[in-house]
Amino acid sequence: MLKAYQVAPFEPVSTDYSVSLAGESLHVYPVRFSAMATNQIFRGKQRGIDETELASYVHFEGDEAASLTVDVNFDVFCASVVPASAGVKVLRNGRRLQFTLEKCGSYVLEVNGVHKPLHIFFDPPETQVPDQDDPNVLYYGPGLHNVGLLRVQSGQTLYLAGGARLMGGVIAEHADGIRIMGRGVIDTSLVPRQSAINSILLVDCRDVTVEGVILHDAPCFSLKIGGGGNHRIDGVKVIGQWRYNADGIDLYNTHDVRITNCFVRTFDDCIVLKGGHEVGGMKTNNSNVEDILVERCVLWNDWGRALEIGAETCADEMHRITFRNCDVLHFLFMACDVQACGDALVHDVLFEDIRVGEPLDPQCEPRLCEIFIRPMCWIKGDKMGRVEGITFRRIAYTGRTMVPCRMIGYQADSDVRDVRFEEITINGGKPSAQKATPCAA
Amino acid sequence: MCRLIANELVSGVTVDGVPVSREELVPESEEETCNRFLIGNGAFITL
Repeated sequence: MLKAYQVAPFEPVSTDYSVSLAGESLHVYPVRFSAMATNQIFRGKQRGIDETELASYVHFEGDEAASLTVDVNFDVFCASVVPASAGVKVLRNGRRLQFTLEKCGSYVLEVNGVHKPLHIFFDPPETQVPDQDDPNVLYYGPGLHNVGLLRVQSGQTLYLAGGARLMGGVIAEHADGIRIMGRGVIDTSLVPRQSAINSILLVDCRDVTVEGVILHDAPCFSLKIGGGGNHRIDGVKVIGQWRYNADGIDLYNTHDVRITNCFVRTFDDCIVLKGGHEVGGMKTNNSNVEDILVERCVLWNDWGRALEIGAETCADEMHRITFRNCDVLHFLFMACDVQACGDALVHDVLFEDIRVGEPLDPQCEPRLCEIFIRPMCWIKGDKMGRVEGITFRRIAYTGRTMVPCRMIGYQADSDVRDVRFEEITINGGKPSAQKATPCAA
Repeated sequence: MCRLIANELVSGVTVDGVPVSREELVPESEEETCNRFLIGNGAFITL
């Protein structure tokens, strides 16, 4: 059964697309993204709207194949649904496009290129809707809810039903056993950049689940986790990240975290693991980043890096980290990146089965994989770390732009060791490590 | 297309299990590193 969510009357409508799901009309939401690749050092100023553009998205759930009909309100020269690994075939008849999504996931319909796409979020049915009369449940039904900064305590569940739009940020500190779930939206679009509020901030929390929600238009980082550990992030959609330094999911000095089935489109790093001196006002004591799995995520990086460790790497160790089975639809600088600018020993890291699409701008010297050790102005400390034991396995790039891999050490005891490239493919072929490798693989 | 760029502070690189010699890596000078750093990390608007 397929199900769309209730739409509040205040919700704006995209004028670029009309979409029907199995014959029933879907609400098409407008969503803002960056239109150009300029950023600034935090905290800086608020970015102007004139540097942005609107795209669209639809959101529904179901446990069967979803047949969509999309009427495009501009001329269509070419159209495709990505990630290509999903194998979705688009039938085109003038401005009408039809296709079927065989299974749940996050998709993007690109019409005439990367501008004004339609994002499609096809979620699985909810199986654990909490009881809204439970005193430990903060229940928000369809509609608009102005909450400011909502604090969630140990043992509480924050539930956002489909069609709910929570205006404000969510924070939890030194708390355990929290669930943040549902199909609604946490919307920080009215929060000024200078506040540095996140869509969700978890400081020194344990056993937190964040599942299914949409995080929309954060002033800077969207989902930020510092310290604590043992978290599950599943099916979260991060969109509307057009402001400067608008990262997606940032983990600081934490452990035992699984990030699965997420869609992250951002104007800075998409999914990034960091080691900082402090986060949310809490000293991290150089605690490790370890036992992290990022799996089955779809990423679009408008600026920065798609899958990253760094740039802050202030920890004793950052290790046992796996990025697996992800699609990087587009990126600007790096698809798979270790940027070590702190004192951590970064080791035992695996990038595996990562499918990478065309970079957004060849002038930005995009790299498929990179390891880079270098001090940075916003990371204080004299000692630099080392990077060793990094594996890039089955990284499959499809595109026309040259995307080298690059490894740069800093000094004799802050160097890069033991880097393994295995089964790297370029447009389906196997490249050579030789200098004279021709452009066409 | 898939060049392996590295400076002299990189060792133990393998491709499909085969060690890659320093001669096979594309060298990068300090000047090039600085330029690429500006493109990749310094592409900011001046405050």
